[in-house]
Amino acid sequence: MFLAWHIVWFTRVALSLVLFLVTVRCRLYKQFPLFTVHSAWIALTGTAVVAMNYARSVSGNQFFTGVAVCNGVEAVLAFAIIYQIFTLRLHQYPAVRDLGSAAFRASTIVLLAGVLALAWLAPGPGAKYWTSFSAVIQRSARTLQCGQLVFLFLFYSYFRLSWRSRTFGIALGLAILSSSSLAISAIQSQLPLAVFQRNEYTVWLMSDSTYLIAVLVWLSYMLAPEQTPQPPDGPLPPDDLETWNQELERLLQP
Amino acid sequence: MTISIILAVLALSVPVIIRLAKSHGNTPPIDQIRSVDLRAFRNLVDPEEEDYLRRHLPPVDFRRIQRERLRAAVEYVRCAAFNAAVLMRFAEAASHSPDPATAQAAGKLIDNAIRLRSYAFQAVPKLYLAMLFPGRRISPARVAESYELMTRQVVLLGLQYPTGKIAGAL
Repeated sequence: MFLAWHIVWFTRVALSLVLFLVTVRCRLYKQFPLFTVHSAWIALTGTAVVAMNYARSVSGNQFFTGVAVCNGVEAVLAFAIIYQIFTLRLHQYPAVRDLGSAAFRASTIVLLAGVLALAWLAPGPGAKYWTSFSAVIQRSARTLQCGQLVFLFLFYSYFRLSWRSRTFGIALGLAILSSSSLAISAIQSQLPLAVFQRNEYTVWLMSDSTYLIAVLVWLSYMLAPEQTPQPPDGPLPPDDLETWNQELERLLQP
Repeated sequence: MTISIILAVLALSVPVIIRLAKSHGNTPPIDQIRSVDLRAFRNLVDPEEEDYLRRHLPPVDFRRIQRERLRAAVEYVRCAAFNAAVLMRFAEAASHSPDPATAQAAGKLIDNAIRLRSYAFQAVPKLYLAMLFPGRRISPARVAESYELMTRQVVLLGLQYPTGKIAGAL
């Protein structure tokens, strides 16, 4: 299990670096600046965490702090990406812009209230204050992200707003990452310390596997060509035009 | 314990919800546009018609009939919203047309289709609320106006790119 986890972990970090290089090479930073920053962050911090893991001079507390900072910044960037995905697309549809912005704000407030209630009712599982605090913050951030992503997809689905394939891929990858991270941390919080220590590598393997899946989703969508809908073919056959005129006449009747 | 289990289940259902939302967002083919009789809808939500029924029917019968009328009105709104969704996807494709007139007409159609779905989103709960209180005044007239405007724009778009049965269904 230890070996499997390390293989997945290193593969995930290596593919994160590849993802960042792809975004730079394909000049996707112009279209998705925040996602580029996000991919740079996960690539660099992923490498740094691997290095810290093997550095003898890094203490357990320093390692924990490093991971917490990586996750914190990653969460902030993920929020920014979700908000950018929503607002940028909404600007192309003036009819739904105000409603969408108001609904996004309202759903975020509701989710925040839920997250605060959850933090109050089910505090962190860690043995120490900071590990407990970190677990609550991570769980809250992931819950909020999951909620916002579900809202985003339901809103787009109801109004039939089209997804650009890469934007969809970014959102899907974030959804996989947030939801799996949330599920794993929720399961982990219920494991007694002894059971967790026995299954520690399984938990890390699950966590890094889902992270790897998210990175693979991002990579596949970034490498695939962007699809644009094809306009209907013209010119019109005369018989169709005549049929259309008849329909027009019927429609214009008072 | 319970909260964590609920949280884990909810979290794991997120990709499923997203998959469902994405597939639900896939618009059916253009020939699945449903017929919507706008005049019948207007009649169903006409306050004068409602007053007339209230005056001429016993209260129990009025409430029953009014509920049936409102249930029918909900179906009309849903059909119009469905049609708007189908037309919207068609218009999105047409908006990439090299012809500026077509692209402009498609843009207006998208705008009105979204507006209609937005009104429908608000009108359906309102109609259901009116079903609970049959004497309550409702005004989903904006849905009707928006639908009328949208059908005119389909006509404009169709003059350049005919789509067979759309206009007939509308």
